[in-house]
Amino acid sequence: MLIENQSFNITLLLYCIAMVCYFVFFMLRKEKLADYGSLMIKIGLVFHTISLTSRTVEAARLPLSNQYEFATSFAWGIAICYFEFERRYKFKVLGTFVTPLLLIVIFYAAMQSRDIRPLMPALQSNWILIHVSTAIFSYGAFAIACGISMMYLLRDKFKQDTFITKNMPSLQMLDTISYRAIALGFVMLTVVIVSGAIWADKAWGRYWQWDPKETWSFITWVIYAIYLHVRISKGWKDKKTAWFAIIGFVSILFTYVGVNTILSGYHSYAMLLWNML
Amino acid sequence: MSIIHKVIKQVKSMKFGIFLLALLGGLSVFGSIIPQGREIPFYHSRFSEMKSNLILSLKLNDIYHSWYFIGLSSLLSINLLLCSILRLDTIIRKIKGVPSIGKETYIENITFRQSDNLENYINNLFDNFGFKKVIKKDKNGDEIYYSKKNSIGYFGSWCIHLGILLTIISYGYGQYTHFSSEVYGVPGSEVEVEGTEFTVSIEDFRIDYREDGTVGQYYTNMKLLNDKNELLNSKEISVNHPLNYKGYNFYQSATGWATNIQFMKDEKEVVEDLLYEGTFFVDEEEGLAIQFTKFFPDFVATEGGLFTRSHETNNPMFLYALFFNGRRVGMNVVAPGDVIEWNEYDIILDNPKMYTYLQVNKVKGKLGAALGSLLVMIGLVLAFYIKPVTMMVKKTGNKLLVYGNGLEVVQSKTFINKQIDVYNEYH
Ligand code: HEM
Repeated sequence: MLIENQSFNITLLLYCIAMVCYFVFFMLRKEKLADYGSLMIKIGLVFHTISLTSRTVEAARLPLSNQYEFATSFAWGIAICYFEFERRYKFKVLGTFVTPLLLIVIFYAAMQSRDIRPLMPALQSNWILIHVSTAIFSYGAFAIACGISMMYLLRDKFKQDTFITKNMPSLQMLDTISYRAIALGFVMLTVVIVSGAIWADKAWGRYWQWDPKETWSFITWVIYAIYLHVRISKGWKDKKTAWFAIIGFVSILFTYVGVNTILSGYHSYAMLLWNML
Repeated sequence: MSIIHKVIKQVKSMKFGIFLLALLGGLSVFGSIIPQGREIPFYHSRFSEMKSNLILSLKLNDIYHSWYFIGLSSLLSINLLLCSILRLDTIIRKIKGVPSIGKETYIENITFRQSDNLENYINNLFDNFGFKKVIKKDKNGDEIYYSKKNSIGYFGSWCIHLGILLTIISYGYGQYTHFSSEVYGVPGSEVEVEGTEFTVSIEDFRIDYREDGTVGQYYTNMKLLNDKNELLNSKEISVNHPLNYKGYNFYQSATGWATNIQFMKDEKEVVEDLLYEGTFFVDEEEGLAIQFTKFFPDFVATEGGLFTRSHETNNPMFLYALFFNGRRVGMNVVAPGDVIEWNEYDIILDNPKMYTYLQVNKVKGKLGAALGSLLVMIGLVLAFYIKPVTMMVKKTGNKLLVYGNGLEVVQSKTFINKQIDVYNEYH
């Protein structure tokens, strides 16, 4: 518990510093700072992994079952995806746009109760493990796509700015990277939805019940499906596509946080049964 | 073009499909905000008069079963069906046909002098990119060599759309033919499943508690009998592990307390029955009713209210309420076996035990939905990760024009160098 908490706090701090570095880099155009930001993320990721691992050991199960556990895993997914995309495409500005998203999620995690609770019977299923672990990578990839699409809009707006043109890839490249991230996220999201449906079928005998959580994952899926089609049909490309990638991520956040907070007053079918048990 | 053709062209188009999908997504937003499938008075009490009237008249209270939601889904299915059928031909042509030059990326222009080893040289070029099977064609006096890889990727989006179609249809069929019921009872009881020939015999029910008192799992040991009392199946079911018999699934779904009740008048037993937590026993003749409000296994009364300290029956207590002619005349807690006296009536609640509540469902079309979603997932991988690549070499005069489509290496220097090396061997 102590190791977990300490590492989590250090992670939080490191990610914050990373974000500040990336911001100063972007605003004051000090390139060195971006390297520090990148380093902070990497060290942060190490501590984050330690935190998650020690929780896994302590709880004797994967940390994927309450709001805190999922939020911190989700943040970890963003950080991992960021690490991979930065390594692969090597441009520094990405951090300026992804670290704020990372911070939103990890701060949300920090606000949740960190108690380790045993799993209620309905959650004891291998399907839910597949469900949540793919969700982490799906959401991580979508976060990257969201960051890149914000860059796209900015790059489009400041075509003349030499700092931006030097540090950001071309619009076409941004579109390609964002597409790859969304492709990855979309495959994962589909697995998330299907495994969730199988789990619901095992637990309640209804694989699709249109409860708010299911509905919002469907809406998110539709938004990205529209993105994919808009992108291939000529004339729609460019800024509209980028907007869909951003709206998609907002929908992801809403599916995860909004449904639990704003819509939770209306107990869903699943919640109702959980409460009965 | 006739009207019918125009309509079909519109209906099969991607724009129309995406428009429908967006509409369905938009409607679902309402479905997630407005509670679905509640009783009418709920909406009147929850929303203002104008809003609740709007909700009820537009059927926003049961949006997923509304005619417009079903209608839009059907249109989407037709759209997907048409587009899948009509696009198959295009896909096959893409795979089988000769690549057209306009669409291929131009890579290199090689001038050669010696022609005796030309075939070898060209095969080598293809080999460099891992293309094995090279096809040769004559086209307008030019010699064309081409090869394709990963053509299966062309089926990606087709698989996705077909999978979605199959899933929608299977889901719709499942909804349409859906059967749902429930049975509950204490161990030792036999309960008929309404609407079927089945009887469930509840052999045993137990709860696994962890050390910290939280529930680990619920188990019901059940036998499934038909109307001739023949054993069809038996299983210890638990949450996430239902019993399946011919498409009927029996789910461990909930639990609660039940108690034996003995109802006496002038010290003569009138009736003995089983009463479930939260329900009433009513003697209409006498105008007397008793509600078994709640059971506390390990009762404790504090200023904050009545609680149970644990799940163990250390200090069991029933909370009950008595009604006479519709008026509440008493409310108290009582231990099992103690007599509740009221005028000439004596009531005894005794032998508290847990009952199990099983959900019984039969949903058809699950296999179709599973196959459909499998197709979608396979299709996604094909569409995103199996990129079809084509390479083509055209010989015009003493020039070789090399084209490639989808080749990652197209722009890379190593390819150009390699190619020049090969080329030099022939000088
Ligand atoms: C229902 C949800 C749908 C999903 C999840 C979906 C998914 C996809 C995906 C992933 C692709 C490949 C995109 C790419 O390679 O970048 C695609 C392509 C395409 N989709 Fe859909 N689609 C859906 C509905 C529709 C509908 C309703 C239509 C209408 C006819 C449609 C028409 C097309 C067309 C024409 C393509 C291009 C095919 C190609 O160039 O290979 N899709 N779709």
